Amino acid sequence: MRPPLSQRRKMAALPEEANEAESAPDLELKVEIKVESENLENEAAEEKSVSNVSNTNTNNHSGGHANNGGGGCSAGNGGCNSQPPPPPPAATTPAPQPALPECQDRQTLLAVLQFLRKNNLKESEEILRREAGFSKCTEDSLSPGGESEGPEAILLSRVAAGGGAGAAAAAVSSAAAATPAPAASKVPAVIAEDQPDVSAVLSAYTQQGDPAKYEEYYSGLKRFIECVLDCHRAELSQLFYPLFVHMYLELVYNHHENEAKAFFEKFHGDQECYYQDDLRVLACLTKQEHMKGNETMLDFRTSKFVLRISRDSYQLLKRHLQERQNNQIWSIVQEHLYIDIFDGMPRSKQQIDAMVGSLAGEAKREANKAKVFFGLLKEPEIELPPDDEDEEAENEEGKPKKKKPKKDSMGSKSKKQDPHAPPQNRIPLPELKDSDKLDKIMNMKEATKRVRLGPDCLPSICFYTFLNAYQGLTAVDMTDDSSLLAGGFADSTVRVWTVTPKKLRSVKAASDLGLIDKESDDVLERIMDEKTASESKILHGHSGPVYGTSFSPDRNYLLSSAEDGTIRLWSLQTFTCLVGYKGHNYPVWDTQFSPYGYYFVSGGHDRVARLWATDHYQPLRIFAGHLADVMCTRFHPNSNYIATGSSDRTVRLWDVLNGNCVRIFTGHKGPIHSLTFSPNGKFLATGATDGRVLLWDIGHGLMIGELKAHTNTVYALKFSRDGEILASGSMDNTVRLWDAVKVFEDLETDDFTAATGHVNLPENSQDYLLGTYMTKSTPVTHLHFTRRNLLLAAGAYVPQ
Amino acid sequence: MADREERRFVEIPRESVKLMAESAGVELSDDVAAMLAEDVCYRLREATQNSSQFLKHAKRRRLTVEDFNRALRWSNVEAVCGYGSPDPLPFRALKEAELYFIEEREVNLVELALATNIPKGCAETAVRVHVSYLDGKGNLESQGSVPSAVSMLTDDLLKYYQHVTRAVLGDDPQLMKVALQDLRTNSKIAALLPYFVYVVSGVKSVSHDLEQLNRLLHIVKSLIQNPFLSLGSYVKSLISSVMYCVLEPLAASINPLNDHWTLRDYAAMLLSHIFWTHGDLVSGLYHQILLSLQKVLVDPVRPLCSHYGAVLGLHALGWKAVECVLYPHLTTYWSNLQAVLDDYSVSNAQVKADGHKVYGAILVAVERLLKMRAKCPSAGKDGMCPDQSLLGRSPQLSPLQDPQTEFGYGIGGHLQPPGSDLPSESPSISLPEMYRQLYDFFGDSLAVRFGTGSGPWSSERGISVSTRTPDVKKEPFVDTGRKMPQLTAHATISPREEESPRSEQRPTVPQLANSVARSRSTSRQGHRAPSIRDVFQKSRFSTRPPQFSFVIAGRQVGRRCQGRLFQTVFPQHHGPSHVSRYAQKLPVIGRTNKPVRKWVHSENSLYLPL
Repeated sequence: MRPPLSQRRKMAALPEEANEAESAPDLELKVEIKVESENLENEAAEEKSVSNVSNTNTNNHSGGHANNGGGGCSAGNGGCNSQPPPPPPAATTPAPQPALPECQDRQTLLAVLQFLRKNNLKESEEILRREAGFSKCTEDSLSPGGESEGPEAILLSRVAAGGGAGAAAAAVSSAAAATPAPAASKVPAVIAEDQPDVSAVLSAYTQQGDPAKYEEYYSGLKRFIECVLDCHRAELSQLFYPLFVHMYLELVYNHHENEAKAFFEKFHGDQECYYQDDLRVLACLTKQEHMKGNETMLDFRTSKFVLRISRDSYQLLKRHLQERQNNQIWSIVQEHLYIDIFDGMPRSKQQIDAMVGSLAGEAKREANKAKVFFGLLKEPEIELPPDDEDEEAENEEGKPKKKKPKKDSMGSKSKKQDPHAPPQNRIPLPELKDSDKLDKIMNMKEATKRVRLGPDCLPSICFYTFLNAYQGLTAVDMTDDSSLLAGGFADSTVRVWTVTPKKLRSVKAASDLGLIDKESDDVLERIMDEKTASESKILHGHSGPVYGTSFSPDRNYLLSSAEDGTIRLWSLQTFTCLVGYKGHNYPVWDTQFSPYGYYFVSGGHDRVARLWATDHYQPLRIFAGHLADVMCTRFHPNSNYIATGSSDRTVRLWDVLNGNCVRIFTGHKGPIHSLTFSPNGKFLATGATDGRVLLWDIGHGLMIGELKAHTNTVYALKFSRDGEILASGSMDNTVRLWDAVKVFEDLETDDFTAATGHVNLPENSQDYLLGTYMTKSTPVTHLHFTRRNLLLAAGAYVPQ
Repeated sequence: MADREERRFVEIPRESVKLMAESAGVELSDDVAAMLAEDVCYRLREATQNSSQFLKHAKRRRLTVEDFNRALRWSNVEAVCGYGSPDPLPFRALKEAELYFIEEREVNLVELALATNIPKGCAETAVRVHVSYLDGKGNLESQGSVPSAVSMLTDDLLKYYQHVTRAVLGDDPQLMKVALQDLRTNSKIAALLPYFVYVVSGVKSVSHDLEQLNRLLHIVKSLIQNPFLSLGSYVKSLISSVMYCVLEPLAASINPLNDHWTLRDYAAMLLSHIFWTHGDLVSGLYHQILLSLQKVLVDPVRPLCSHYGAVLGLHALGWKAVECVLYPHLTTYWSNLQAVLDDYSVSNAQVKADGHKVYGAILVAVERLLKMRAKCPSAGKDGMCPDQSLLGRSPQLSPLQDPQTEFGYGIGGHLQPPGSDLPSESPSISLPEMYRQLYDFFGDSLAVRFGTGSGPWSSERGISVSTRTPDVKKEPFVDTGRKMPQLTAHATISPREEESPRSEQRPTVPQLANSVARSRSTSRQGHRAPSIRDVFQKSRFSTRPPQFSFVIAGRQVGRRCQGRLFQTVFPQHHGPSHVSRYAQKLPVIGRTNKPVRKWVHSENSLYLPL
């Protein structure tokens, strides 16, 4: 059997990974340090956390309280039976004050001991035990005492009495929570389920976290936000959703199921519609046990929800919460939200709506500050003496005048170094082979015949329809020169078709190859086995649906990623599998070759994207940071960056060199299924299940366009060769063409916008829509512009 | 908010959990069951949520069992097997027990394993390209043509299709025979079915060419006889083609020399065959056909040949169709027909001849009606609806089950098994009443022959069997000798000799003179009739079901046997005066009819000289 996801995720987080501080090992490390430093000072809080740890991690529901070592404390608890939900307030408040200090000390010590033991820190445990004069048995007998809900409530009140230790307690408790990691191997999950306790501790300041009051808190805040000035209201309204989620989870975690349900019923309707999907998941969660291992919950727990609020609005909120002594909410804000405060005008509702929607709120502003070299690499200079003649021969009547400037422009393009381009050798790239050069020459020749597209000159569309694809077409790719077509199918096969008259042939068997005259000029032709010539080849090897396919730029290889957790490299010379790259261990949703070959990227259900090189069986980089599955991965044209789209509704841009996340784009309201870079590398287009296509300026890290027209998931996006037209293909059986030039022109990138990231998008994206082209009954899965700017689309016909 | 109501989840009641536990032999308390139920709900939802991810990446719209199983597998739960079929699972309710269950049909593995018609794998996945939009504009049509099966046909199939169509429609009769035979037995032509159906639908374009029409109908026949073809909704198309041949005033029928009657006979036989063997594929087909037949029948503007077709069609659909459509209309129709038949002007000769054909067809139909009514006195009413019993009886009703009779339309071989029980309802019109009415129209020409037992009859089926009904009330036995068979259906002979093994058994009569045939039948009639009549008289309303063998065979009026094989001799009527005037004239008509030379070149014809 497979180890649980969380564990593998942890294992996957190799030391190589260098990015967000959210990864599990970091957290663990922090935790331990904190324990060491704080266990002496903030005992009061720790005992609480320990009691919770035992509560969750032992299945021993003995209920009764063994009261030998517990002193006054245990005596006080003994009266409370272990019957769950809310303990009567009467029982909690008059906790035995006098006995408190001693009891707390003892319990704290016990807690620390327990933690140490759990963490296999035997030595420290021993030392501490000796110093405190504890015997093992006392501790054992004490620990189950914390299990019942009653004592917990009492502890809460004590924490309150102890005062002021909130923050530290939180830190420690999360530490305590994280401790069973080595043993239980469920780090994030445990963190996730234990963190609500942290809030519970904090909530004890005023109302002891009375579940009945939650609604009151929430509606109090709601009233306040509804009454503030209009300009602040939109900003503060962002608070609703994270608060709602966290309060609900707290209720659920603390076994206040009925209250939680009522709370959900009462307020879920107020949430923005784009959180529907998450709310649906949330609504399923009605028991504490369910929170264990629920991925969505994990996301809420492990990451802070990021809100961008102007300073004025924030002050307003802060003042309100302090006035009202609304510590419950305040603590959530402190604990689980990251409020990114900016100076200046509060944002409008439209501005906010454009940017929010992701699982963890907006991106922090500093996340998009890093410099990105989005320029293109300098093209290697290839002399084209032989085909100059060809060209001349071809267009004899063509004016020689015209040809010269064309050549010049081409030459100058490659000679001039783009100021935004990365250093040529920032990423080691494979050397050009002769065949690559030939291909480049072909490309250039074709490019001269390219149709200049524009609003008045739309591309012709050819549709490649997969017929009888009853086994389910799941992925399509085409070679850059549009000669080969690969389809990944749900029956775990990969099929390759040639779409030119040139048939697919494999190389002869080794024995036959020996007979060939290696000196002959046409040796490359001779090695091919004419008997194997066919229009299509089937590649068998995967053991699950193939979700991603990608041709290498030199057309010698094909990559496929599948549900079986592997990525396979196929040779298009022999039509056999060369390598199976294992590492994801979970379905791999997408893979793509670098535009320069050699490298490739993959992303999958394990929430990370990986960079591989074809000659390494292990990944070179692991890009971790997405809070949910990585749905699609694309290389930047200069091969220095990788964009990933995720079902956490964010797009991230990663630096291949150091693995850093250099851009986080939020604004999509659904999982992102398609990505494409503009040919000049400046822009990124992304499509999601909500049918919207968003355009991003990579250099500034800004959203620059929102294209709304599709009615279903956008599965395919592609810029025309010169970047004037963006084509989008969708599940709604349409191909739509957008005026990309106009989108880019309309963008005013003044300094303010760039600094704040507050964009004003035009209301109506219909102006950009150049055309809508229906298929009969074929969802569009792939789009491709030929070198001459003919648009090729592909998809499987779905009989009605 | 409005969606608050929509946000409902399916919940599994604790009773279900308890039930499951019980079936596993565990007793659960309510609390435990409730907790388990809640947990199960949650797990189910979680699995469903996870499965949606697989759905999205499979780029489908519909969640499949496979998606769900994948989600289960990845959460280390055993997959649920056995629900992978794309077909919807019928969810049935058992009212009495408030029980809901998924219907599971038993699969006979032996049958499955030994099945000879192994389904051919579906067509190979292929990529087709077409320019959908030129320069981003122009054709606002979508994406070109829907990929039809034709592009998917393998070369072999295409070749086969071309060869077969060429052979059937071509000149070589031997080739045609082979092709038709193959169409009838080939198990691998399912993919071609739409094409053949399409070819057959070409009847409308060749309505001037009897030969071609005939061949197309032969294709139909072969198709419906092929046990490997599932006609499905193509039945409708086939039926409409056949109905066209039955009912339409074909261009070919303008020329009286064309024997379009034979074609209609054959088409009606096909109609009957299709209906009885494939009628259950299309719901409401029976009524549709009935309606269209009725429409033609009641339309006086239509030419007589159309009426003839309608009557044949009704006859082909069974005696109940005759009873519920033809019989009620007979009174009105009769006056029209009689007007035609009474007109002796020369210009009317052709029309009159046509009228005789119609008259004959009606007579045949009502005779069978009478016979069947006599046979099943209780089954008067359910002719209104072709119920299961009717369909179930199709093997008995349909004469076409017997491959030997394929060219002889109208051979009503009704070998009703003694045990067959029809739902008993009181007949709307009693048999005597009906008989009386019909007798008013037809007089003594209304002849029904009853046979008992199959002994001497079976060997004679297909040969000239003349039928007549004894007029029980009025006809004295002594008249028998004089009474020649009025309605005579003669067996087809010549073309079937090659095919039909049965033709070996029976005396070959083709070259015999009319008189011979006549005498044969006459003599046979002569000495057998009294006894049968006796039987009939006694058993008509008795419970003992007699074995009927009513055979109306078309007569081959081929090149070799020119003219009719026998003449109708009509007896002098001396019954009550209400017998129609026309009935008395019939013999004259019969006699005055010239030997029919014009109906040549027909392979088989229901020849009803009256």
